[in-house]
Order: sequence, then C-alpha cells, then structure tokens
Amino acid sequence: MATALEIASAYGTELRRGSIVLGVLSRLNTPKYGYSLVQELGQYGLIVEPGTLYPLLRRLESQGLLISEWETDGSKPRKYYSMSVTGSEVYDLLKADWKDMIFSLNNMISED
Amino acid sequence: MGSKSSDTGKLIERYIYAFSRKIPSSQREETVREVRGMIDDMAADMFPDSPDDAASVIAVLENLGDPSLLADRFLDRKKCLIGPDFFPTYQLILKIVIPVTAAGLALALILKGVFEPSDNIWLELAEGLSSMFSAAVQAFAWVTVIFALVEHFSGVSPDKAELIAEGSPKLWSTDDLPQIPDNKSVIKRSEPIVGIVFIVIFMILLNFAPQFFGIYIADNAPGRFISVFEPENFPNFIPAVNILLCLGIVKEFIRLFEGRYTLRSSFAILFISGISLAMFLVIIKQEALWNSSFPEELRALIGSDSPSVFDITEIFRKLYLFVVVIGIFGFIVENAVNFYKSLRYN
Repeated sequence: MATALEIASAYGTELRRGSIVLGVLSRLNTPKYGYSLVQELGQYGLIVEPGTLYPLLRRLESQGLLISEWETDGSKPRKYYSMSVTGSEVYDLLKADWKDMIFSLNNMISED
Repeated sequence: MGSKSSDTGKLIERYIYAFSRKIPSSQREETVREVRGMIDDMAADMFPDSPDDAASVIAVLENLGDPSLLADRFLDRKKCLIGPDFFPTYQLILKIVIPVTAAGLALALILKGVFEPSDNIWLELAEGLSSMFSAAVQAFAWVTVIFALVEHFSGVSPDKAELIAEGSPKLWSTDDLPQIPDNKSVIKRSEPIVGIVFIVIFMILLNFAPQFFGIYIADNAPGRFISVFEPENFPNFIPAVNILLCLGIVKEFIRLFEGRYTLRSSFAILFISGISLAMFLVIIKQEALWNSSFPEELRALIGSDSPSVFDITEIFRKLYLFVVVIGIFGFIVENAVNFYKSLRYN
C-alpha cells in the first residue's frame, strides 16, 4: 500500500501537469528560451524541471501553439519560443476554463 | 575555469551521445542542440561560480536523469509493444498456442519414436526436448510479432489521443454510437481459437513428421507408412506450405480481433483466402510434391491381380480433382457466408 503522502504526490503531479501548459503559455507573449522560462516560472512558484519543460515546449510547437526561432548571435545558440495565433486562442480558452474551475473548487473546498 | 576541462566535456558528450541514440535522425540535430544549451544553462544557473567543474557537470546531468528517459519525453511516445487493448487477447493466445505447439511436436516425436525407433533413445529424447523448446520459443516470438504489428497499425496513437484531449474536442453525436450487433453476426472467440489450434498442430506435423501423412501398413511390427508426399522433395515445399498455413492463421486472427462479421473483415478474408486458394492450387499441382511410388506401393499392397478392375492412378487423378473442387467450393462458401452475414446482420 502506498502511503497517503505518496498518493497525494501522485495526484498532485497530475494536477500540476495540465496547469504547467497554462503557466507556460501565459509567459510566452514575448519570445523566451527554455531555461529563462524555467527560471521565470520558478520565480512565480511554479517549479518545473528543465527535463520536463524542454520536451513540453517541443510538443506545444509541434501542435502549432508555439513558434520558435534560433538565436545564434550570442555566445550560445538558443531556441526562442513564443505563442502562435492558435496558441493565444488556446491560451484564452484555457484561461477561462481555469478560472471557472478555480471558482467551483474554491467554493467546494471552503465549505469544509 | 574559462574553458571546459576535457573530462567534463567528455562527460557531456557521452550524455548527449546516449540521448541522441534514442532520437530519430530527422530530429536529432536540433534536439541535441537544444539539450546541449539546456545543460549549459543549467550549469551556469546552478553553479554560477564553477559551471565547468566536473562536480557541477555531474550534478547537472544527474539532475536531468537517465538520458534515454529524457529522450522518451522529447519523443512523447508511449513505449508499448502490446498495449492494454490487446494484452488480454495476447495472453490468451499465448496460453493456447505455446502448449499446443509443444503438444503437437510431442505427438510428432512419439509417432517417430514408435514407427522409426532409433538406436539411441536418450539422444532422441534430448533432441526431441530441445526441438520442443525451440518450437515453443518460436511460437512465442511469432505471436508477439503479430500482436506488435496489430498494436502498431491500429487505433488512436498516443499523440492523437493527447491532441483530442487537449486541444480539439472531437465532434460526436449519438449517431456515432455503434449498433448492438445482432447475435448472429457475432463470431464466438472459440471459433477462431480452435481454428488456430488446428492449423498450428497441422503445421507442426507437416514440418516435423511429413512421412506420417499417408497410409499405415501393419505388415510387420511396428508397421510403416506409405507417405503421400515425396520424401526427398517435400522439404522444398515446406516454406510455401508454411506461408499458406500462416495465411490461414492470419485469417483466424482477423476473425478474432473483429469479433463479428463485418464488411471490412469479409473483404480482408476474401483477399487472403483468394491468395491462399491460388497458392494451394499451385502447390498441389506440382508433380514433385507427390510420392511417385505411392500408387505402385498401394497396388503391391492390395495385390496386383486385378489392375484392370480399379486403376489406382485413375483413382488418384479423380482424388486430385476432388481436392481441387473441395478447395474452390470451400473458398466460395466461406466468403459467401461472410458477406451474407455481414450484410444481413449489420
């Protein structure tokens, strides 16, 4: 049997998994490269491992939500991602969903 | 610590190498470039004073974890040879096919032992057991390959499933609900399974003991067989015969997976059984396949006193024609039934 802590952490991971996409999209109005996004999300308290975020960025790009460009001028070549038009539509829809969900769940939780 | 010492550089290269091996070549260059940048950025962020130290690089790489798991995340591919949809059927088929293969082979070996006893029974037994083992392993391998192919070519890929779940909800109406099939259109699972069992047994006997397909003569203990197949030529036919039987197995698998008579399974079966019929007719037409001395041996056995009363060669010609007719008739009936049931009961 898994302990309460283990079960809670598994469900917590699941909860976070979907919300990371919303967090990422919210930051990509302006082009950013992978690690700067890790740091920025971290500053907001959303801790995402680079090994998770980089593949996620790639997936969002392949789904057409992000566009990317390699920046090779600096000392290190870096891939900058930003939201596409579809991406910002998805972001708006997701944001509305999120607010509804927070509202409902907060009401339920606060009844305890 | 301006430039990387060669040791830490090597460590990163080894990590990148292990990572890139798992990435398809079309995506490799770009992904590798991104991961390299990621490692640099992580090191610079986590160890601003000593990003190039061996200890720093090790800490970064260990933080990233197993490179092949990282590659999996980049590919976003669920690694499943046989997924949950097919696993129960896979298990069921394995539980049937492996014992049946072993049992069929045991039967072939017992026949051999009784009618062609060898001097060294222990050697015979050891060889028998080892060929039973290798046949079971082969059966396992083939079943796995078939299911892996079915898994690969069927259903919604994880990517698509994720897309549907995340972005574009699929339009769906109650019209999309499948009809509950008429009971008459359902193919019972036992039918194709029994079919597979018989084909497997037949295949093993043909492969390992073709000499026993013939007529048994008890003239002197322990008796002997007059084989209908030409013993010297038969091995040349084995590959074609096996392909023919495998087509039969594929047909049964289609019935098993479809689970009922449908138009698409009827067309697939029509296609396969058409090829099988053509192969079958070509194979049995080959003179070299048949034991040329069979008629003479039989005649000698019955007694050659009355060759004019029944010409054995003529009987064989008629028998051959009979087999051809049966083959074509079976083909027509099978497919007619399939199409009738799939149109009538759906």
